[in-house]
Amino acid sequence: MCFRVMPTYKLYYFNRTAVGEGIHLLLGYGDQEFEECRLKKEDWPALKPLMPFGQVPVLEIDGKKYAQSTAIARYLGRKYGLAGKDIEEDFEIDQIIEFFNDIRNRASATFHETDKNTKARMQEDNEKNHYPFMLKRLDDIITKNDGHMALGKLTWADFVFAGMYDCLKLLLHISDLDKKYPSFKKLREKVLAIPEVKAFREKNP
Amino acid sequence: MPKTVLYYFPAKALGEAIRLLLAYSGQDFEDHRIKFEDWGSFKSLMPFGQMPVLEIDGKKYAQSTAIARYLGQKNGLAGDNLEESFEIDQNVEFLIDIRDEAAEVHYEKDAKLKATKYEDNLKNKYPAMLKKLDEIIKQNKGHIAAGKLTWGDFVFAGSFDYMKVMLRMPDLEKKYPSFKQVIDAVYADEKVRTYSEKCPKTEF
Repeated sequence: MCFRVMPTYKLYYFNRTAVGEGIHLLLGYGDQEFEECRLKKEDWPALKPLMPFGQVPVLEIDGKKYAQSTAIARYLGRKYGLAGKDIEEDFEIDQIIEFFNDIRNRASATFHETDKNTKARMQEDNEKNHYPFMLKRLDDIITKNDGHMALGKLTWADFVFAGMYDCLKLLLHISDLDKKYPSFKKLREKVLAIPEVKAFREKNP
Repeated sequence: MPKTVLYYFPAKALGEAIRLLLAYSGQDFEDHRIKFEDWGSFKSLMPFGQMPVLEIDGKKYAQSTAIARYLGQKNGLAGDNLEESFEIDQNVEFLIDIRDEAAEVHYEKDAKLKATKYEDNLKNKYPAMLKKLDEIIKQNKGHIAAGKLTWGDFVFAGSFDYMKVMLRMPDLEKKYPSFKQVIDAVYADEKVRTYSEKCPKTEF
């Protein structure tokens, strides 16, 4: 007799609300049993060398480590039927995610700037020259796609967005983001309302 | 044959990987290089107000890595299965992390801050990141991922001179000979070589 052994999934990350959360939600959607290895700061120095790029999130499947948050999200997206049906559709998802990451990276660089004057200057420049265009573009795209990031339907990109949204608000430092771009909050809520995701979050608060 | 146009600045930077992939694919394309001073009038025509943009039969494709992955998938350079495709994505994402770190310094306008950031990166970030990249390439027999030629190699080769300028390491491939292996792998293709012999030459 042959027994099919279920692979063991482990997710290593610091906190849920940044780049690890999209992966978290995807695993929930996929109804994948996994071990949550939420790392504390004091644990990190010992674990860092064990991670492929000295970073988290890392998803470990049967002892094999998968790193880089967007790559992991795309991988799970493909596994769970949340990718495109062909190369053209996959491209559209990749394109919007790359743009979204541009926004996130810009906001993150500003947020993490330690010099107060520089940080203020960067924020001012962003608010004047970058965020209005970028966020409106994102809003237009989500609206055009029926409340989704791409293809007018649920894809792994929606999970990345939903997982990152609260953190993004913090990084952007735009207090009325929900009001200015209602499509953003709606998308997050849409993902969280998916029955599998809702059930998962109830079991894993 | 579809009409293919690549819009980018007269530079390699983020556009060259796409040019190299197009050359590899055997696809004739218009290499539309837009000078910085002319960019203003084109900007609003681009999906995200940025370049590179690849236009195929009137359809526009934006975001450099997404385009490279797309061309990779179309040309058998995206791995044979989900695991290999993932590995390329993962390693390219890391490569871009290095590029982004270098770019953050390179594009810093405040001279004093730029100097401080560079020193900090040089001491605390670049060595480990470049060493890691070197290890990855060695593990992958002179490639970025999956032990063979993939679109990841094209992203690396295309942006290499740009990286060197931003890292301020003009002899980077001497320090890490594995880096040259990746570049050589890309230019081993005759169509890629033909393109690079004929194309306009830019510093980065």
